[in-house]
Amino acid sequence: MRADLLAPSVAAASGTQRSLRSGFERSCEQHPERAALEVAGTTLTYAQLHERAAAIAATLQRRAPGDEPPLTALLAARSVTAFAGVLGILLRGHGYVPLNPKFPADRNREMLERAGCGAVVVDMERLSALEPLLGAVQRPLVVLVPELDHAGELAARLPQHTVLGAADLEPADALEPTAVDPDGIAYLLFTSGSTGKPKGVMVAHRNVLAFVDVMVERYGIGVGDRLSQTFDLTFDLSAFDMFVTWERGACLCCPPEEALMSPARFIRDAELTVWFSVPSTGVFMRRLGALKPDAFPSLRWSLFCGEPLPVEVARAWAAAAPNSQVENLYGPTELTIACALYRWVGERSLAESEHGVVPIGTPYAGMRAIVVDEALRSVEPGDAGELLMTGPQVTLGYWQDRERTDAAFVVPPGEEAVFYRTGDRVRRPLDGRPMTYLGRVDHQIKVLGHRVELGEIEAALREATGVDAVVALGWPLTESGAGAIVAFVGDLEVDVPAALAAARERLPAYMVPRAIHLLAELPLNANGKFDRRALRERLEGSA
Amino acid sequence: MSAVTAATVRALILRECEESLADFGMRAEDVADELDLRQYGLIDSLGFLELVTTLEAELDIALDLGDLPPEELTVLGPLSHAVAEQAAAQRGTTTLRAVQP
Repeated sequence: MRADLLAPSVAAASGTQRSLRSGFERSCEQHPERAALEVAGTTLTYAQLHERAAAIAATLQRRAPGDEPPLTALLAARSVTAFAGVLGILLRGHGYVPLNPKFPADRNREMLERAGCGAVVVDMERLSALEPLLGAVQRPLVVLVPELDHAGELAARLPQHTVLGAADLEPADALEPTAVDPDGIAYLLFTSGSTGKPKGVMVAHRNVLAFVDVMVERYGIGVGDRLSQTFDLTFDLSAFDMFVTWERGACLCCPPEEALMSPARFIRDAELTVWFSVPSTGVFMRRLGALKPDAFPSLRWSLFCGEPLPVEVARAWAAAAPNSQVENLYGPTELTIACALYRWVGERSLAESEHGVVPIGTPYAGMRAIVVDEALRSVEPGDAGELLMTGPQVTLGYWQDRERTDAAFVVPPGEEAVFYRTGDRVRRPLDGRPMTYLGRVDHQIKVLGHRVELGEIEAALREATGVDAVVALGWPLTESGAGAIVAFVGDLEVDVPAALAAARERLPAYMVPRAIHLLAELPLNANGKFDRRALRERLEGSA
Repeated sequence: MSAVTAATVRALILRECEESLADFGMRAEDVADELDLRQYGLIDSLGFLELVTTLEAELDIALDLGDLPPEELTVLGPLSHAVAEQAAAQRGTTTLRAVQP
């Protein structure tokens, strides 16, 4: 297809303001016939993906015209509609709010309702999840299932909503140009919240563009590249996969869910050039014997983010992908995907690593880090403290939550810029040295790469059991964090199966405790708080 | 020295998953070879690693499952066969300890 045959919106929709969709639109003009996406056995060129996305955008524009707020939800995963949906929502001029098919219906409904979305885009694989999700939503929604041939039956089951299927899709060229404010929300991601309510992180177009620019430059991404897509859309690292790929006309390769557990064959068969996953995937592959020397010769870059990267995994991966550079990326959602990095260089890296974990390195160009004490004053070089960062990737704060935004986004004494408090303990580096990650200043942990506030699990269990004395811990410990959750409840009468069932209704699977131990009462430490260390020692004793 | 067969491995795997099977109201003898432990929710990725560790200890072998097709990795029948094959290949050092198939 020639560029001039593309829907007019390719050229028109971007306007003068650069936004998150701009890179994709430019690649559509420059490389309309190159592959943009491989997913579920289908390959779509840039022109084809654009056409799908523009049809979704035009349909939303016509049938769900509300802009208050300019946010549209997406319930889709590892399908053409998942990616066309992200792009379609952006082309329509909205930010996307990803829901997660793996989450309980209650949690997805809470995210959908709190975001105030007027429409949701859904793929065919999620049809059975729609009734539990939307049946109890009173506010009328537009439910767009672009591949659904007969929408009537679903419409009858969701009478309060407007269900649109394939027959309702507007043609791609019906899309009217939309203006996008670079300071507006590109995506709204809900992360675990310590008080029991997920927090919505508002990420602006300009935040993601600052990140994408650093990444495409550093990794020299081009049309020949084939990037992995391992992350769920609710995990912000998925924004790297999509927008770094599409910024430069490369191809996004999305493995099926079952390949994620042991993706060695996928990496080889798809001839990936860039791999990006949580370190847990590397831990798993190493343990299964999949990281054999020279196993992945096609890789140019091997990138890890989301949790501590064990030295042994970095070393084994470097040998398995000898033509690639291994880099450890670091960053919370509030600082837009990743904002510091470290390149693994073998022996020197070994010396720079602490506690068997690869350093998190140095901030991206344009980002600045300080390491502070509890009064937010800088600690001495070599000392440990909380990491605060500022720069163009500092996001807009938490959706409709001024209090928690003010607590986390601060101007430290002697500074003028807003810094985000990461809650991560790091060592303030001596000159020229990388930062090393030492742990958390609070009760946030990573479970197989997922960010988990233990307080949220405890709140769910308190509600389920009616008992106040509840402690959740990451257990068992793995090379890169925790493998699962174990909880203690200070009451011998609690109905454990019922409590677990209630937790499953409310929490994503990775947050549901593997076991709940009942004690007559929970031990307290010298400060009168629950003694987490003693409880952990109990687990160690019984392991 | 006992031979390690797919049936032996299968029994070992089901023994390790006994508790989860019970949660789903299933009994080991009713389970089909096609059962995908992961898809059915009987095991997660960490649980699978624990299972691999247990199998290695029980069979006294080192497993290499990196090249098993991912769609077969957690399916009872193919996994049992793959493990049994590797046990046979390492037969020189293979002994079967405390297994009640």
